[in-house]
Amino acid sequence: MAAELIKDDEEMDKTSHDFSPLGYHSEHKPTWCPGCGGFGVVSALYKSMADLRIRPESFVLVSGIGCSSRLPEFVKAYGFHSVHGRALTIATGIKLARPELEVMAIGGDGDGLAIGGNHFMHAARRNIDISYVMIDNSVYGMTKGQPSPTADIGTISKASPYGVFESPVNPPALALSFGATFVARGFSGDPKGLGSLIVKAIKHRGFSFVHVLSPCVTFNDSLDYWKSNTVEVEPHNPEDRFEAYRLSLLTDKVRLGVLYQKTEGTLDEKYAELKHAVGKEKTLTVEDFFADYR
Amino acid sequence: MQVNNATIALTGESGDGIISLGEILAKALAKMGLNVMTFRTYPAEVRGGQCIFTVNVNHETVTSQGDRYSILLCMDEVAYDLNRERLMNGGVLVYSMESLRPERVKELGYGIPVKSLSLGAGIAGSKNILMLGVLADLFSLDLNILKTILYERWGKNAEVLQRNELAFKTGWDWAAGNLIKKDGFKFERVRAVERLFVSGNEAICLGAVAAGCRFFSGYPITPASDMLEWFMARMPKIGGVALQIEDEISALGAALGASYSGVRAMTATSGPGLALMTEFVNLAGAAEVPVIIIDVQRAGPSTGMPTKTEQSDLFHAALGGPGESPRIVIAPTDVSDCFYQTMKAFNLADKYQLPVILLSDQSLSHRSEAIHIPDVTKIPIVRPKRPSGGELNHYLRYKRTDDGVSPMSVPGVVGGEYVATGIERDEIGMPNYEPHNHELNMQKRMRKLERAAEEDAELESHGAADAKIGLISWGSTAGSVREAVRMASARGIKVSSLHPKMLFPIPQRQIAAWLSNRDEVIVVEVNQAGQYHHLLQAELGRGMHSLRRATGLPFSPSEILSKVEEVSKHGG
Repeated sequence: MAAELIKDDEEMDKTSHDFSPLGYHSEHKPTWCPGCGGFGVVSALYKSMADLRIRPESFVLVSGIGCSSRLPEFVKAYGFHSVHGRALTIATGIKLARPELEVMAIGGDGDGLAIGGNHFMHAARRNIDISYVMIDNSVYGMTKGQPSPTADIGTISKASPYGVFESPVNPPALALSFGATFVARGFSGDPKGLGSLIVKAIKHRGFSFVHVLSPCVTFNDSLDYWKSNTVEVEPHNPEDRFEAYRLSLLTDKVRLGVLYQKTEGTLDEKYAELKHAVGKEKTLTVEDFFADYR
Repeated sequence: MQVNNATIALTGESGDGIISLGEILAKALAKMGLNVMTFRTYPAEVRGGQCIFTVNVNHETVTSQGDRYSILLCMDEVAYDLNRERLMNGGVLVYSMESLRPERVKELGYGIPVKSLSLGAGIAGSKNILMLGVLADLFSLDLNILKTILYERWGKNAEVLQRNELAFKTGWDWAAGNLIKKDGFKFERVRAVERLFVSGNEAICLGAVAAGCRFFSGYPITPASDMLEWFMARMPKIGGVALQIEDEISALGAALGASYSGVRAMTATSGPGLALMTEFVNLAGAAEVPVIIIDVQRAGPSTGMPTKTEQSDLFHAALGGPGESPRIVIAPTDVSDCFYQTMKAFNLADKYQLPVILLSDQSLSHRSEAIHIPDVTKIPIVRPKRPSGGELNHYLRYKRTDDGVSPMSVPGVVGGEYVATGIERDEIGMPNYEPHNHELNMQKRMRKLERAAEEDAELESHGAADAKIGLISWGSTAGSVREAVRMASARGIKVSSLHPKMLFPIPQRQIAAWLSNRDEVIVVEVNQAGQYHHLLQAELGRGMHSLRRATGLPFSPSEILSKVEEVSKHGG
């Protein structure tokens, strides 16, 4: 399968790509509301792709549905804009089928914590080598302002006229409990800092989760709140999962930065080892399998 | 004496080892060179409830599970009471005489002291194999073949092998020393071309491998779970990937991801799983990503009867989902066809860049047949149309072409970057809600189906070409229909049968041509709503009879014959 693709590849001029952040802009301009946190995230992504000199043809950006899930349209790379909540399932298939590709899933808090919450747990526990960027504005922006699973108790909206009764979830704490091997939190109001977290997430071998605090200027403008209520995480041992969990829960000031990072065997590596272990003598064909039924 | 011609039914409580006994017996008969078809029905629970395993054996082609039993084995009295009615005149019973008192038995039969024999030999856990020994003696099964099969099955565990060998010998010796042959059945080894003894599910897995499928993701569900297990064990050996994933939604999602990235991919499930996959099925049609979904149908609705058969997912497969999204639905008719239709499914999916749903069913999935070794070269592999170097200069992923198929790039190709999407888009792939754009895209996507029905529909026909009475069936019901056609012919009623493999889109032209010679047509299917009957009548614009039944079991040929006789009387 791969041979067919590489052949096409070699015929093309590989040097023509512009490796500056501008080189990763697609021809399509973002359609978000002016001031949307998405702009900070996409510019952080352009910058991190430039820093890593990523080739657009080797990068796949997968999303579900929601304002932030439109992001793959704005990036020069391969993309898959799928259905609500399912980005991680598609990303899993791409990475296992073509481990040499760089695969990133991106989406919102409703997409990843409500309808797609189950996939978050399983992608993390598999420790598959993909990055997952969750842009969290605590609101369903595209459907005009319903509360998401990270909305605070008491949040008033058209869909919660008497206030939200349920407790909000804490995405980095969830990621840690699911077994993610890289957990960070960034802020869309600080694209530079966020860019460096995304670089680390992409470089990390294993499931890397970047939680991005982000305002929805139309339905939940939290920009100023996050500016004054976040702080860089204090130096700590990034391999200490209990400490990471404690830091993820602090609310006096919400901690930004890498909370946890540990290298463990990834699912794609284990599959590669398995293929080598059971298939090293010779690659079998269907005729070999016929023999089992003769 | 009936040589090499019998329908054997093995019956007893779930947990009695009926299925193992049946598998070994059927495999032995297949290895003796005979044509064999098995059928099994059992409860969903691991223990408890009655199960039936039938082995239909003939020296000629076998197409159905048979109507009446010639040899009936009962492990207990309940099994006897439930199944004795189906024992044919001249048939023979083999039973456990400690559970069923011989004085109750009116039929010709052999009572076996199973309990005391197995206790005496210390092999209480292997009563089924003891019975195998009895059957082997009574009906002249090939001893060497049976020994080989026992070894293949348990050779890895010396203690278990020894116990089963002892059980076999105990049964064999006792039968040889105590039973006097009174029935008229025996089996003889015949010279035959080498064949494979496989189940419907196994044939689908083999077909997928032959087609170059190198990615499988699935979630456990009866009666498709063994396909997940099959691929988990074998994919690494062929450089592929198999993944047990968190649910059926993600199973199809991962397969779509793999296929998007250029690797042939498949998932397998049953009706409830297909229901969960529906949104992704429509995404695949909208985003134009090839993918294969195997739906091993079971009796619904909802949880229904997971271990029983039904053909009731056709509406869902063909029409289910939000909006109008193209897909192709095909159904294999027997175990051998499972192999070829699966190979074909991958070609259809790639050629038209859409999901293909293959409808199998419980009765086909777990019945085994001795089939000719599949000819892999019969179905040359067709991959998706790829963009040329020139097309990559200004790549239009969703270019509106005459045949509706656009060149599909894959990650890794420079200049082929695009966003696959379920949102309505322009030719590049960017969102576009203009009325004209939507209309053209709807036509483009649906155009593929017109072409598929015209170019790729496969239909099988049997019986008399000039018959005025026609039978149409889909999927595994073909076997009983073919048998009914033969039975009708023997009674002087000419019947032609049609078995379309492509169910949706409906190959209107080809079916109409066959219909033009028929006065009366009966559509036979295992469901309550008459789903195919409805689709055909709507598409062909003519009335047809419907023979439909949802019992959890396949049709027997005689049920179909009765309907044919009824229609032929009214017609004449």
